[in-house]
Amino acid sequence: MLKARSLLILFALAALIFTSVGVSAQDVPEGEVSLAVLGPFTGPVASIGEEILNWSQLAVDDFNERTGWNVTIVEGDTELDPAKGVLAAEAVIANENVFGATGPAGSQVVAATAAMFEAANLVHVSASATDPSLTQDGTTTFFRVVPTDAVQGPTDANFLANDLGVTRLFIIDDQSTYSVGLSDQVEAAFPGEIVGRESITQDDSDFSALVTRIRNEDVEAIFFPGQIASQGAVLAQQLAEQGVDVIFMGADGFFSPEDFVEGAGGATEGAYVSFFAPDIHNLESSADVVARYTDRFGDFGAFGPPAYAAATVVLEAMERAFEANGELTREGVLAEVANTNQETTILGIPLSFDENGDVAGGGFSIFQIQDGEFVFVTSVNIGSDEE
Amino acid sequence: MTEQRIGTDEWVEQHEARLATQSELRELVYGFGEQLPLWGRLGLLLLIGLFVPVLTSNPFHIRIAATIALMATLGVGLNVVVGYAGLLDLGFVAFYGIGAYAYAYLSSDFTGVHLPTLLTIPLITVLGAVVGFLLGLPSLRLVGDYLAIVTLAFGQIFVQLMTSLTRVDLSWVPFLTTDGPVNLTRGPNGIIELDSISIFGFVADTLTENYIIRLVVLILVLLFVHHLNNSRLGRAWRAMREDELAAEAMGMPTRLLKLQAFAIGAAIAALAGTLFAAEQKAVFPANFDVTLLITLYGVVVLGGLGSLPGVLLGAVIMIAVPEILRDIELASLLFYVGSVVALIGLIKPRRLVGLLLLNVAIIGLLVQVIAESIWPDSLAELPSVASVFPEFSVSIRFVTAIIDSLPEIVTSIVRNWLAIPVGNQELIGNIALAILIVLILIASRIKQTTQLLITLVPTMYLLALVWEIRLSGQESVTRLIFVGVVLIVLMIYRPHGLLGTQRIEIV
Amino acid sequence: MDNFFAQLPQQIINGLTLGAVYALIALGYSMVYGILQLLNFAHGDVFMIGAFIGFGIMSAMLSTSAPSVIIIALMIVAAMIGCGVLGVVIERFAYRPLRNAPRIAPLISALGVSFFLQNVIQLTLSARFRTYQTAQLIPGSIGVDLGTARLSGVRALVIIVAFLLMFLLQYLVRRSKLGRAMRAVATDKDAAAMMGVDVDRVIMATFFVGSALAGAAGVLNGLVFFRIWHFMGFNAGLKGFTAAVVGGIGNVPGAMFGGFFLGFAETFAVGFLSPTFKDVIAFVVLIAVLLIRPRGLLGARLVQKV
Repeated sequence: MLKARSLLILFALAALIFTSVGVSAQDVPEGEVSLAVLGPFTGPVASIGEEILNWSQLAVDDFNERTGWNVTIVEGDTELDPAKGVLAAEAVIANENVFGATGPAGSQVVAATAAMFEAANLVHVSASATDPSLTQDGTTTFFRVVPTDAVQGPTDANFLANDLGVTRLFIIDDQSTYSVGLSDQVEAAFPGEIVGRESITQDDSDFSALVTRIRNEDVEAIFFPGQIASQGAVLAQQLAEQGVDVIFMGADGFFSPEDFVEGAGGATEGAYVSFFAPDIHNLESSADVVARYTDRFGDFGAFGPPAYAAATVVLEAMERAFEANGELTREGVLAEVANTNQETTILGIPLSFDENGDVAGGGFSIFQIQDGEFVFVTSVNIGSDEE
Repeated sequence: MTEQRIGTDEWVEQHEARLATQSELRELVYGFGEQLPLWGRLGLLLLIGLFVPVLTSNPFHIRIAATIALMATLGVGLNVVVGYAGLLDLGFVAFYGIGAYAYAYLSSDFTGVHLPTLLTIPLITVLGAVVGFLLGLPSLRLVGDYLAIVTLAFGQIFVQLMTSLTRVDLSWVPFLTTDGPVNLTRGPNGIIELDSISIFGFVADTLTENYIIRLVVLILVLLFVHHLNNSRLGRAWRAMREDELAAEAMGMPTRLLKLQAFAIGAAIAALAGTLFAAEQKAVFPANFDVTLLITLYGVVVLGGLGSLPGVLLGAVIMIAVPEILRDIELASLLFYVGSVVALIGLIKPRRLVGLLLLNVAIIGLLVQVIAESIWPDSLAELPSVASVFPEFSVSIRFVTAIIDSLPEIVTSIVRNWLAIPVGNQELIGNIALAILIVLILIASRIKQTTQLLITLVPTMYLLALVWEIRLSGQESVTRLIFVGVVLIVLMIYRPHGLLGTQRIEIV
Repeated sequence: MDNFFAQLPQQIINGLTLGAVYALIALGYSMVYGILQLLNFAHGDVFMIGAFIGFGIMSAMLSTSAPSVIIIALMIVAAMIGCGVLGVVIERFAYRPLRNAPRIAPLISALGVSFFLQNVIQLTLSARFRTYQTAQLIPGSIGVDLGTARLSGVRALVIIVAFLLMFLLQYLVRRSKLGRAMRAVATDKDAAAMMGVDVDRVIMATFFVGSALAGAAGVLNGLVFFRIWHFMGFNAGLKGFTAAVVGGIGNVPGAMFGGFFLGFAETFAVGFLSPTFKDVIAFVVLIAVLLIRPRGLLGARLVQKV
């Protein structure tokens, strides 16, 4: 063993020159095949990017194991700045091994880069960009596996007003496109009185002054659709500290058992969260993949499983495109992504796209934290009558 | 140095020795530059710049070049403020943002205003100068770091306002009828779908066209600033920067001089902002964050404060290095080549480097023998070098193919040489990283050659191990770690910047 | 107005807590500045490392049956020592070689250190948020009700520890031999060297003390605001820098005062003006203060060195 290895080192180059390997017809594509993943992998919200990356890695490994392919991941770090996102996207587009991409994660980065993907015919499937306008300007290469704010906003507003009977609502956003967009939708759709609408930044961890302010206004519920689950936990703890007893509702970003439930030390008990899929932790069909993820990377929040779903959409489209055409092209993958029709996904819901690239059908489930668990309360499907 | 002077330490001596011997780079650049007239230098720059799109059709490379051109323009502007006038302005990015947002307001459907570019660009440049001047008025009562914090605050306020001015009550404004609050900035979603730059019917739609415009603007700005620096104003700034009190005593209007520097820097930033917004076809608050400020300071300081070629060099380093590191294979190659080059720089006489590398290679093999005999199953099974490159034999004749696969070859050789453990590579990698950092810190203090060599052998081994099992798998984070290391090392190696000599004191 | 008085007592407590954390960070900034005229932009990241050291000790100790007081004391002490050593190492390797370089050079190398620390932490400990289990150490039921306001146990702890540390620091700087040496070096490095003060040693001590305070701030911040992550130092450093400058940079009481001033400015901006524009208001106040008092609130009547 040792001898073989040392020989290899000493004669590596020589070995290379004289080796000749015949190429045979294969059922895997020739050359390197990569999936690009774009997201904020460094900087203040790297926690989100890291989760996206880990779940994408799992999706790629699962795919490779199933098909015998050797797909690799190319990271495109957007650092949450659209200008950096443009550079990351350009690097990915210039990489000839990339046949499909997932992301970018943030809506504003998608807005800044969509035209570049369009020009390169490279499909990109986002797992978290929810600004409704992104799919409205006729782009053909952008898809997303999550429903938009336009759907979620009215759902949450109706739930607060009709199911919980809230008449006085305080809305807080975290200045991310996602949070601001959703807050705007809820603000518009909420029939009762909006007592306040304020912003905090994602770096803030001290909300006690805000809590004191809220305590002195007659507020029945707080709606805080943040991206960072630990921020929701901190707000809940500081509400509890000052004895403010109001209904607390968050959205997808807070769907994280580790950060939002355990991290809050009981303060989030009774809080509501709206999420666009069933609870993946309790899905029997996803138990296996959840277990494998947890073994390898630890706990996770709301951003990972959709990233897995998005990666799987692109990877399976690659497989179909290769089978159909005998070769892999970006055009082929793009066409196949549009044809996606998965009966079920890791998220426990079927997945297909409408003509704009938005997820067809779908809906939102609302959960409440009871005894430290996310407990399903109700769900609203898109197109169904909410009354 | 024969005697220790009062108030100096060993470093000063080393530094002076360095200044005497190691200014080859500066001499190379300036020596070459002096043989050419100004128009020749700038023409050469334009030629090199124009050559980029000819040389490569890869849009990524053109975009890097375009970003470098933009950052160099900004750097030249910042250089006027920091390098020439010696004012620590941490709000510089805000002027860039003001330019970009002004362009957005003057050329988009958001406001419904679509002014011709030939009007917007001068207008915004003047606006930048005016805002810079107005902001300078109160700020310049302050000196040094108090100025820094006030300008920093200004920059933060700008970003925050652009993020949050989404529901402004304008009912108090006379002659303006609005229903309800007005969204002035579209918040984090930014203002999108801006017009492209269009001059005499020529519309800069593509990246390459925008790049050429940026290049031309950069050269015009360089020309302007070069003449400025050689004018009365430039000499006055230098005098003020070196000794403000003396300058004032000589009757120089230091306040006015500072304001002029502030306004000129702001105008250049605002001009750059329009170019940026027109290419991105959108503006977002996140574009103008503190990270950009850090990059810009890197640009002007790495190259050498006060040196215009230095700004260009700084822009190339600060933009190109992180972008090149996006390609992890290339980064691997650079990492190994860089390590060896660092050794060559560190160890004298240089033949010892060969001895060291030989020792490292032997140690690596020894480690493998030992690891394999103690834990027979604990090493990762690696593919043989040859099987990694089946295509290599086919393309061996072509030099480009060799260069293309060089990173993979190096990686493969290193991976076969290392004893790579199976199991929890993450944990092992983390521990190895911690030990490595300590070893490097120790090695950097050792003066005696033998000790240094002995320390460096395990260091080099760990370096390769950490890179292979930990760093190369986390490309985005690794990239930034390297940017950090490059900043520290370059500053220690050349405290005056790569092409700088003058001592710029910010009082 | 009723609303104002109803909120005021609680907002004072909020401002005092936030201010205590800011003040501890600002102190390190200010001390280093006073002695080297260096803006140590890596200081925020030292604060972050302190928070992680405290978190590590807490995670290890919570399962044991050690009393909370001991755990908390251990967390603070470990973070202080760890950060102090880190500060000395940073000074030795990133700043000392640049001692006689242009002033902007160590600024860039400090940014490099900051990048390095943040990303090494992300690489080794991952980017995910960690949460201090404060409720298990100091139950929420501990606390004093003061009319409409509530001073919870953890807030009391933060305020007390911060004041204790500041008192000790004041003693160190004013009364001890080391403090005298520090002040001497801050006033004139060359003269101090000639009088037999070991300048390098004094600078190391300054870095140790300043960084240790940041470490303590990291733990206190974690205890009272719960979540910690690799990037937390960036904002904290910015705030600490701001506080140090408001108070008059280089000035120890000034940094304390500046920290509380900034804490109150932010808290009152949220409580009585606009939470959304909190930072804008705080920065506008800062600018206003500096325009009125160009050398900070407690800034030294500095003699300009010619």
